[in-house]
Amino acid sequence: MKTILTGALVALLLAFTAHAQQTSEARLSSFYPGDSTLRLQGKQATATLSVPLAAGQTVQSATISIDAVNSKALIKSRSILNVRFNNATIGQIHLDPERPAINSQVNIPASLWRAGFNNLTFAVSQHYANQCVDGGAPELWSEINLYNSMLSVKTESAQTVPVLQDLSGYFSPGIGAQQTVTLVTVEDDDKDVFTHSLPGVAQALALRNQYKPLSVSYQQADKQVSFPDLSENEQWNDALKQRYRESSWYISDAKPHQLHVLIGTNTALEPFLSKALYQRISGPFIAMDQTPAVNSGQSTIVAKATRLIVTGETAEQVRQAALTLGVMDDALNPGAALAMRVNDSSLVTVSDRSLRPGQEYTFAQIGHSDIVMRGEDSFSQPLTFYLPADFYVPENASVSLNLDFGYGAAFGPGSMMNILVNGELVHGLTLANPNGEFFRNYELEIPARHLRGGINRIDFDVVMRAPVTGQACDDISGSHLIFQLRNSSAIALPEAGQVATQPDLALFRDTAFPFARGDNTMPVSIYVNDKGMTGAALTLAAKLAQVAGVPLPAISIEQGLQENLTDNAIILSTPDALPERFATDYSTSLTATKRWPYRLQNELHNRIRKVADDKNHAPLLTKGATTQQSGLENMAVLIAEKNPAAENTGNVYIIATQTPELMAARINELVSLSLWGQLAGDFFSWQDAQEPLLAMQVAEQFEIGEAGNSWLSLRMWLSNNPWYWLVVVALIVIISTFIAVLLLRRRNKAMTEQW
Amino acid sequence: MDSAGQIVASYSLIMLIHISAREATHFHRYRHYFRLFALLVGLALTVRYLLWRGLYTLGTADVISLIAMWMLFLAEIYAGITHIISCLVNVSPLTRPEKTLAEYPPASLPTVDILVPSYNEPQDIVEVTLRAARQMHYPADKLRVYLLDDGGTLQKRTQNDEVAAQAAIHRAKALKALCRRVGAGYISRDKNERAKAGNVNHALGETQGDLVVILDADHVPTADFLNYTVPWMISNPKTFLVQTPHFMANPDPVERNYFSAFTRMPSENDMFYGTIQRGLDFWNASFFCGSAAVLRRSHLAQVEGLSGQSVTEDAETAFDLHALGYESVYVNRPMVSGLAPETLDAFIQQRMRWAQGMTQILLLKKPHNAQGLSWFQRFGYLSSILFWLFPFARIVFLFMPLAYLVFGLQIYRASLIEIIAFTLPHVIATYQLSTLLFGRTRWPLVSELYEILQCVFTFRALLKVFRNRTAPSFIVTPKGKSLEKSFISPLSGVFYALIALTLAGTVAGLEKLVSDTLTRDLTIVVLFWNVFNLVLLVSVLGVLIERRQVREQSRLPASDEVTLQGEDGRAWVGQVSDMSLGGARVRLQAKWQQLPEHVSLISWSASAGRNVVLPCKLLFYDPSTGMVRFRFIRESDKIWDDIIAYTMGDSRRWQSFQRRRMRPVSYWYGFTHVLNVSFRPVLQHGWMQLKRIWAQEKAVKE
Repeated sequence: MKTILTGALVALLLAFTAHAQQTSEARLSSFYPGDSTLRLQGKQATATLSVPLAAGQTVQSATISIDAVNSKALIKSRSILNVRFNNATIGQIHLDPERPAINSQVNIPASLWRAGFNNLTFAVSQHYANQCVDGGAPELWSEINLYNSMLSVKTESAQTVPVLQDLSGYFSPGIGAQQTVTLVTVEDDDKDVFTHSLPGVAQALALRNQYKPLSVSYQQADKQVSFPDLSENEQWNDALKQRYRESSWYISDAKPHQLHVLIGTNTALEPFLSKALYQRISGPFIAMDQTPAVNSGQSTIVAKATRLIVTGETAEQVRQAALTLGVMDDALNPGAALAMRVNDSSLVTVSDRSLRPGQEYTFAQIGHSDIVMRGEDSFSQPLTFYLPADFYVPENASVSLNLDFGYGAAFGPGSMMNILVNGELVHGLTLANPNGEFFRNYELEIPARHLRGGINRIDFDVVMRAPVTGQACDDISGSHLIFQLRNSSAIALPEAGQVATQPDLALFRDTAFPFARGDNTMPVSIYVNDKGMTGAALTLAAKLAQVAGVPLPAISIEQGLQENLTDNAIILSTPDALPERFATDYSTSLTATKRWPYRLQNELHNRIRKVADDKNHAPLLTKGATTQQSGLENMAVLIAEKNPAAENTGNVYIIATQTPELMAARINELVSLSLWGQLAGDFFSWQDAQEPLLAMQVAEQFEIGEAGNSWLSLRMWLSNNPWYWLVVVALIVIISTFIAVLLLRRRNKAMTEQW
Repeated sequence: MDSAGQIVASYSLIMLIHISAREATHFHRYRHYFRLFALLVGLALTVRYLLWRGLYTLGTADVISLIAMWMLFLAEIYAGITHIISCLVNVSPLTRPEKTLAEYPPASLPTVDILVPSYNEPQDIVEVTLRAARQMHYPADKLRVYLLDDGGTLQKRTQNDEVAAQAAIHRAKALKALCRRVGAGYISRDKNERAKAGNVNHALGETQGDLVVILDADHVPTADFLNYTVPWMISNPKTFLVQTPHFMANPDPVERNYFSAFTRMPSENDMFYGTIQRGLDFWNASFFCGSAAVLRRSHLAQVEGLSGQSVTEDAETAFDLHALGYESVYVNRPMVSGLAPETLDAFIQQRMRWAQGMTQILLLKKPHNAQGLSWFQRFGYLSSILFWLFPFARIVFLFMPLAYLVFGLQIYRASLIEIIAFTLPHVIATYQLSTLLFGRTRWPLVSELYEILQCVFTFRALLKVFRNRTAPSFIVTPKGKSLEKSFISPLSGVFYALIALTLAGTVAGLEKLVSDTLTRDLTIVVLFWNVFNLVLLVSVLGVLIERRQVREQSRLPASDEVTLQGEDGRAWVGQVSDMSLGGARVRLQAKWQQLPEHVSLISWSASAGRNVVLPCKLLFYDPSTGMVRFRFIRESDKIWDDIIAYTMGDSRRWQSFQRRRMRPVSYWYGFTHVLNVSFRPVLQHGWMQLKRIWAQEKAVKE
């Protein structure tokens, strides 16, 4: 009996469990932030790549193909490249001087994989002789070509009845996760659902994808079900009709293991929901739901699908539900549905992740643990934190770093710590005390101009070398070397104003400014001239949330261009539909009649390029324009300019493609990691995801924001105009001189009159 | 503005100061504009520095460092404030025209009493002063000379110490005889109350002259003293004081022991009398300096004579009379030749009295809040008074580097680039302004040297005043001593200790420089500062060797044409190189001559208005150069008067001597000069101390 029951349970489980395999291939360079060539230098060296795996995926098999080169000076017997996965050695490759080019395949046992980030470590031990090897010898090297090295993973989705916890499995940067999503609304639903809730949901899902772009598409479902023709000998009966209604029939290309999202008020969604589910909706409501497959004979009319439902009784409740989806931790929601109480749901607020100027934060408060480095090697440990995008300080403001750190005894020559702030070296210290040292409140004053709006990075580069005995072949192992940086260390930020120089696509790229800023209540809209561009607009909204690191509830999507736009806005349009007024104050026009700021129209351009040997797309201020009739064809253009249709000072970002269909493809390219990172200037054009055609500064820049208080305003004004104060002082002195001479002469006259 | 911008801006301003200061020294109509422009820009840099120090550099982690940091900052504020006030006071030194009595009929001149207070000065010093006073060009019926003897008072003559009482009786008797001989009045009193002020006030009750001239016993006036001073009293009845400079006929211990540059370098008091008093005069704030001044009796009577609350009765009296609305005049013509203290002991004692007295005025009279004084007079007095608080700042500046180098206290929170951007421009600008204001009357580093020399002793003296503002008593500065052999001043111990500490700080600093890479920037700066202190302290060693000086009077340069005539009628023409009351040195035009042992010097005396014939005894003759050195023979009172009239009676001689040594030198010259004369004394100290110890051991054995 027991066996029967177990068998029945297993059968039941299998019935609800879909097994689907997929194979993912990725270049190893996509898991490594640095150069695609990984050089391992010295007697022993290691490098670790983080390979993410989406939750809910089971790895069936995985293989790494390694493309590497080693030095010809190495001796084969003692030179080995070890491949480790989550600290278990999975491959050992001899570095053979006779065959320095390596092409090797290493299997990763499925059992070593775990959800989240997995460590793939390359560790080499390299020798050019059997004894007396100088660890710093230049011939001790090997290189792994990460771009040519591939990771191939076959995964299987182990999906059971979906619950909200599984959302992080569907959307994550890991292997097997979903890279696209379709958002569905119902025709004739409240307009606000389209305007506010859609971008909210897109952002919420993209935030789960972390840094990996999410391509969003949009569909509108008909309210009326139209039953397709069945295969021969099949007729629509009530049961089948009901099953069809409860399926994902409204999705044109429903895929069995992809989640789509149904968004709308409960009234609008009623025809698409089961009765039980519908009756549970009494406020903002989020649910995971699995729709059945509809088969006709041997063929499947509608595939089984998983959907996320974001709904509520009103459009505002739907918006609240979308916002909650953006802020909630999936791990805390093991159920399939989440109903919010109306009163409480209105309290959902979003605070950004940036540190507040004028405050002091310990590294622990920023979210970093103690940094510990051991052994003889060169280490680089970054500490990242966010500052408001419009973070603006006077030039003489400084950041105070109070570090608690120490290093152990018996460090050798060449041991040191360097500190870099956003790539600029600000401090160096030789670790030279033979007894080690511990510093508490080691204070560094760093000019605040090293910091910038958005993400900032402080690198602690530590080189630890073992002491030298002075005897030949008597090396001391550096295993005793230890360096610690405590997370009780703190950073004190100066008071800052909220000022940004605009337009600046680089700032937009790094911080999503001006769409993400301290004051998130200012409405901002993405205007689409064609409904076919809605998916592209949602993809862009999702990307902005990823860049900002938080949902941006103020972003809405509007169809058509109104007379007045929000102060900061994005317009997606074809050239023909773009009004001329957006080109009157700007040297570039994307309308039917184009006005192009050709690079050669900048008189300095050629000379600068020649002198500086500038081969990248650094912003270049261009003046003058050529007016012409032409099409954009495959190209897309993004320009940022002062918004001519705004009440207050703001920016408008105009993205144009020749057709609405092209817009989705170009936006997907734009939000890709490779292209997004190259945004700069205020004029940016591209036609693939690899590199831009052109990035330029076309318009004069202006400043938006304010300092906050008058003292800071004065300091910033002087900071911006460094010679003004000198002129003012000189003027005051000159005027004072004249007054003083006058007074002294008067007194002198009075004195001499007595004589 | 960031540090790079600050550096560019501040050094641009320094260039502006340099150019303006140079232009200000040229004589053209806009020179006042350039002078004021340079002053205001320099002060702006100083104010900027102090603001930066206050706003950005005072944070530290531990309390002891915080205390040290604030002490240093307060010392800098003090230095900054005195610098600013000094600039204000000296912005436009007054140059008065020469007024003489020629325009006044003799009958209209006021009567003048010349009061020479004396306490314990040798009789021969007093005699010269009295004789010179009697020779002043003034109607005889309107001029009275009085010796105010406080060493022969009834109290002194009847004191319990019989030997001292006998000495007082003897002294009184001798001085009375002297007064009879030279035609001066002798005034003494019963009790020695309120020191010099009491002595003068007693004499004021015994005399009736409209004007009163006060001369210290060693202050020999020239014959034209009244000629140049009294007209200012006549022209403005509100004038209560006409002060003149004290011309020192001998070098003070620093000039003698250290620089040996008495005839080449401006004297210490040249800065005060050559610049500051003129600056104060512009603001009607020049004050009485105790001697070489004419006072109006009627005004003095309103404040019941000289004030006596402080030990600097002179400045206090001027303060009281300024507060009543009366005016002062400063005549910048040296017409009184005095003696500077010969020994370091006496010098320090004199300065301690001045420091105490000025601080007493600060505490008792509160010049910053004094009724009756104009705001610029208040600044004038504050400038003179606050200067004397320098020991507090100087000691902080001496010890703060040690606090950092030896004890690791964080005394200054700034990076090297900030120090270059803020501190260095302030220091340079301060030096530039000092050069602009006092370049002709004070060489670089000399002020620092004098301050270091005095700071420890005056610091203790000042503490005494702050504990009890009426505690200090008047101590007469000993003068007229001759030093028979060179010796190390008994004050040396404290400087040995300071040098040892500073050396230890330098060693600790070098160790810190090598071992502590974190603070290397600041260590370099503080180490430099400490080495600078060390150089100054080592320089002080030179002053502490009291060099032998057997000549009673210092010989001063001269260039008079003279004729030497023998008893047989032969005569030799020559030119005086230097001379004093005792004798002279003459370069004869003819060489390889046979000179008799006794000759007569014949020369024109401007003060006597005739040729004088002075008998001399030949001391030395070099036939190859024609250089002759001889001693005057005081055969009679008339000859003695002629000697005084010829050697001391002509103010033009002092004027030309003073002008000759007032010259600006570059900072580099000043610095190398100090370095050049600094290090030999170190070896001398070592050698002399060894000799002393050896002599002591020898004495013990014997």
